[in-house]
Amino acid sequence: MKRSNIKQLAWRNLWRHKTRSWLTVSAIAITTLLLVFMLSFQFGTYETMKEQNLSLLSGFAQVQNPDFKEQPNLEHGFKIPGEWPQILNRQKMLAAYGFRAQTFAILSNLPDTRNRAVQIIGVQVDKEKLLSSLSQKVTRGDYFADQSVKMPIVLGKQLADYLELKIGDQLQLLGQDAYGSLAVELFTLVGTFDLNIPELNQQLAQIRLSDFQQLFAYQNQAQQLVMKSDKLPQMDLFAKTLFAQLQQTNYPENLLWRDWKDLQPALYQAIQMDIASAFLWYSALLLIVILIVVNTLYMSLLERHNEFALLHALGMQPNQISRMLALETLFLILLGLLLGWLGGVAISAYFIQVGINLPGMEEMYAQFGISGTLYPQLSGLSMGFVPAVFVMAWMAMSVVIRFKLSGIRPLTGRQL
Amino acid sequence: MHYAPVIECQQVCKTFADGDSVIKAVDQLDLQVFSGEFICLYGASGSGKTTLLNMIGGLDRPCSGEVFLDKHPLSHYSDDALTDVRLRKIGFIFQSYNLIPVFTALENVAFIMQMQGVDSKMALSKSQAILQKVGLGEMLNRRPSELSGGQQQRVAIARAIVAEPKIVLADEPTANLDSKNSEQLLELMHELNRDLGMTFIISSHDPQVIEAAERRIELADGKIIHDDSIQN
Repeated sequence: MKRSNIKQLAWRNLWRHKTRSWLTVSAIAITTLLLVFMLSFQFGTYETMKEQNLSLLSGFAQVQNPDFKEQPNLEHGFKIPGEWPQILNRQKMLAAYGFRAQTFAILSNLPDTRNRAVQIIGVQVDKEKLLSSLSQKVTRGDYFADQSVKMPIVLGKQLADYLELKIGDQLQLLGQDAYGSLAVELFTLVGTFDLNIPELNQQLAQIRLSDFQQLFAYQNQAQQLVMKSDKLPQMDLFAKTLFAQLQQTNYPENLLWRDWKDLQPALYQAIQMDIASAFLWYSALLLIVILIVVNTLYMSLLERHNEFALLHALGMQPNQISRMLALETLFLILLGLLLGWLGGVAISAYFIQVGINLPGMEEMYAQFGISGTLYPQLSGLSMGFVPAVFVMAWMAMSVVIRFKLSGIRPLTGRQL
Repeated sequence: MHYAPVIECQQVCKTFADGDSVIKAVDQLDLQVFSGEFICLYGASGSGKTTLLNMIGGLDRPCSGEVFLDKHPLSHYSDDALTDVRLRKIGFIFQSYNLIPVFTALENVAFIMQMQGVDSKMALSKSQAILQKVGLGEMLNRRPSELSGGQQQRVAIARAIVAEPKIVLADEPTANLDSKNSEQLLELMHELNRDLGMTFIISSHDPQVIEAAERRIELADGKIIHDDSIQN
């Protein structure tokens, strides 16, 4: 028997019980629509979380002295090789890079009525503007805009408030340089930033890298080479070759490449945990719908036993009958998948354009550096996960159908 | 015109278990059926007519003895091969018509040829001609639910003969029909038997069918107690 005849029979059989078939198709379609959209929304949220969080300070990847990860102090920096800027400028996919150095110091207001131990980061201002979103979060003053100001400093909003400082006020920095000597300098407050993260607003201060190197006796040195590509996944595409090129320069010490997972392990773990729990729910939902399809199939096997026996009596082989039934199930699944998939992709595509605002979630998102609107992201996984599960389920069902119908006997006169 | 037996049963037995007892449905039965015959198997309910028909049609296998179709013993065929024999050499007409409900009359008939691998166009064209022959030329595209009992049985007959099988087996084909429809159906089967030379074996206890048969075989307790051909 030709395949086209079996297909025709299977398709017609599908519409024998229209209501039942449409109910099953609807269950598959609704589940597919929901899961395609939910997965797209979830992955979109992760991408926003990652990009906004990483863009704040850490960048998408860093090159460091291997010991800096465990002991982030001035001892564990590196001399900036002269060839590095040229190598870095040649990378077409590298959107921004910059060197940084950091240490702890005490900041005091000038009457010395208030002081606080803070993290001082030395940054290359022009490069930092491309690298980090911190410069865009300056709410008072500016981000090192006035070149004529000697020893400018930018502080977290709450830190400035605590030290009772206004823009233009002077403050004193007291720390220890790379050789253990006292490092003292007067700085002028040029701006304050608000990162929506109180811990950072209270403890972070930025100065120019050149001032940092001068003050802490750290000439031509840094602790971090911070890098960023346009999109996070692009970083992996050239990370290996770039790192190899950097290592090939006349650099005496080991270097460590740290990707975003290493730089932000808490964020990575939070995403992984969220994915795991979400997939548990999604799997439960899929299992319920697959059981509905199995139930439809099982009802067919029970109700239509005599019909299959008749077809066998008329000359249809058991494997052709099972192929027919498997095709009926496949049509049911494909129809549901097609409707649900198109709906899910259309809704996701719409929200990719307009974004989604979830009122009342701002505080939670702020912890991950996210502000404002979320955008879904259609990916191979979000679009392919549900179809792949259904196709695998169908393959399993086909085996069961074949097994169940392998022992079928032809219809005899006695059974009529 | 009867030259060689198209069907031959040799010492065929079929038993069924019924609790602790064993029922002999067919008991050491010998039978020869020749090409082109129009036979009616009749007898009381439980006499073994249907069981014999099932074994001749390869729907069931005997416990002992042998059924030959065109001199080939059916016991030598595997289940798949026997299914193919049914498809190509035997036409079935059932009491309850047993048409495929989702197919039209034309598709129901063409389906058998399509199963044989015949080109769809050719299968549909031949099926249309056969349906016209059985008087349903105007109802080609009706589904079984849109046809009367008599019309459905005509479609079943068309389905049974469309692939020109060696024999056509009909199990109580008039049981669900009124006498007028039964008469028309019998006339049709006779006509097909005469025109196409197909062998018809009909199991029935309908006096109209018994009367119309060329050869009548009466069964009781699984044995032949009367056979016109032996009488003659």
